[in-house]
Amino acid sequence: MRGVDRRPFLFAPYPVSVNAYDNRLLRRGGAVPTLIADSQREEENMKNPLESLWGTVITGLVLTVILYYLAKSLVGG
Amino acid sequence: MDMLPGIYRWIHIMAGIMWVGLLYYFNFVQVAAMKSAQADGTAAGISKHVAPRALFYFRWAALVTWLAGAALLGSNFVAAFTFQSGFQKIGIGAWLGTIMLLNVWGIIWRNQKKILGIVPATDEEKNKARRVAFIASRTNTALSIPMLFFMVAQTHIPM
Repeated sequence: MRGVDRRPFLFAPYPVSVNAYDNRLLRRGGAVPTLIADSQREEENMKNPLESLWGTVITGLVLTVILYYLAKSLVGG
Repeated sequence: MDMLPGIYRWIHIMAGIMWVGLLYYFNFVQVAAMKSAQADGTAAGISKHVAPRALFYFRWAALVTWLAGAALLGSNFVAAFTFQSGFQKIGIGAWLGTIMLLNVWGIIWRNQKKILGIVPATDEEKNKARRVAFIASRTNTALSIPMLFFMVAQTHIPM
């Protein structure tokens, strides 16, 4: 079954080759491929804050504030 | 017997200074120093002579800190870890410290053994281990900030 993809019914109601499926999706040119492309670009641009020291310290401070309010609600203050 | 809680606290603070001090050394000093040292070809000195010693004290200090903290909590251990009344703040600190300890022994040290050649690993595995250990170490640095806050907050910061 190599090269054959069983996508959910909504996308392909019968076994279809991956290339044929992708070509059909590209020809359609609708909102779905655009959304996928945009989210991929966004992921490529996002950086892990832990990469830098400042990002790490700011992450720790933000976490402190969040946990402070969590603790406050636990204490009942 | 009256002295015991004070002794536990003393050990907890001493070991904690060594643990978090070395954690900050790795993140604030060694990572940047390694980049410069690699540029002028002196990185081997750090990775051969400094890093293994620092890692030895780092991981054992982490364990001693946690054990002394657990002894200090004593009969309140369960109350702290289940956030019972009066123990919510120290409970959050204790959980953060526990996550950090597991990070040290379960992720950082396991990967450092590959990087330092203590266990055999391919170059690809070493590169992956370097990345995982780096992120885990940075995670602990971030977690240390609220952890220290809640250790202090139990008796010194009213909520």
